[in-house]
Amino acid sequence: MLLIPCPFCGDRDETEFAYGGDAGTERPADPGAATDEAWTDYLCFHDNPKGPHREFWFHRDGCRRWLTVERDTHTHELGAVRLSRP
Amino acid sequence: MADGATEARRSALAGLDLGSRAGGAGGVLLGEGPPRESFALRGPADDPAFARAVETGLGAGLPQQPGAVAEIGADALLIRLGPDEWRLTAPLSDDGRIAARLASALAGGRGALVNVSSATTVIAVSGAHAADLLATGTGIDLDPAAFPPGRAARTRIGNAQALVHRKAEDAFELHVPRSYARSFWDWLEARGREFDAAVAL
Repeated sequence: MLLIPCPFCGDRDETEFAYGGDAGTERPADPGAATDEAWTDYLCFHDNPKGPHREFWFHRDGCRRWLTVERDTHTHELGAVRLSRP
Repeated sequence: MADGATEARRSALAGLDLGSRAGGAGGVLLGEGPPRESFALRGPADDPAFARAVETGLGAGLPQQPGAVAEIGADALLIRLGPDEWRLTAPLSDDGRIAARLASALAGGRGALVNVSSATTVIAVSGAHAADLLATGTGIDLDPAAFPPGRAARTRIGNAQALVHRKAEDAFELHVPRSYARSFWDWLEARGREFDAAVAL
């Protein structure tokens, strides 16, 4: 089990969180002008690295804030954890 | 806000008929806590006007540390749950007066107060092994050094989300979602067997 250091609550069990997916994609800056290809790329295509990954976790049973977490998908080692919106 | 208090209240645990099963001594006593009024307070922690409004309404400042609890008069509490979230909880006998004062102090500024009294059921767990029982189902450190009396935390215990308030070293009050109250009670009783849990009188 992961022990995720929530910046507000402190160390909490993974079971308190909901996984929110890849945090590495960037929403098209001008949605109206974005091409279908840009939208498809943003919505559907994600890297699936073996190694460092930036991802969202929702602290459902704690402070109920979204966190951006750096996690190594191979070793589960956690890096920086911050509130996605401070 | 006073409207809710005048309507008939029926506990989510009423069907268990706890009164008829109460008694006996055990390492842990389980019981339904006194029903409380609860209000969700949201607002910008870094806005001095918001902090002043809360202080005007409650006569106590916003608790700052995560899980810190400010006591307001007779058994009313303000608990910090998140970066922009607090829980105000007061005895039923207060009849919404504290919340009404806070609501009028907040009026016109930033901040929101919502009555969430019906969302939770209060369960009291006490006794020498109270912390041991809860520790079988939660990841937070319940050692008094890390989680001393007077502190609170929202976390997961067993199968439910719970707002845990440690009233004394061996006394906890748990606010669990009403719809989970029955199954959470069953979980407490099942885990409690190890500690000779009894239903509190």
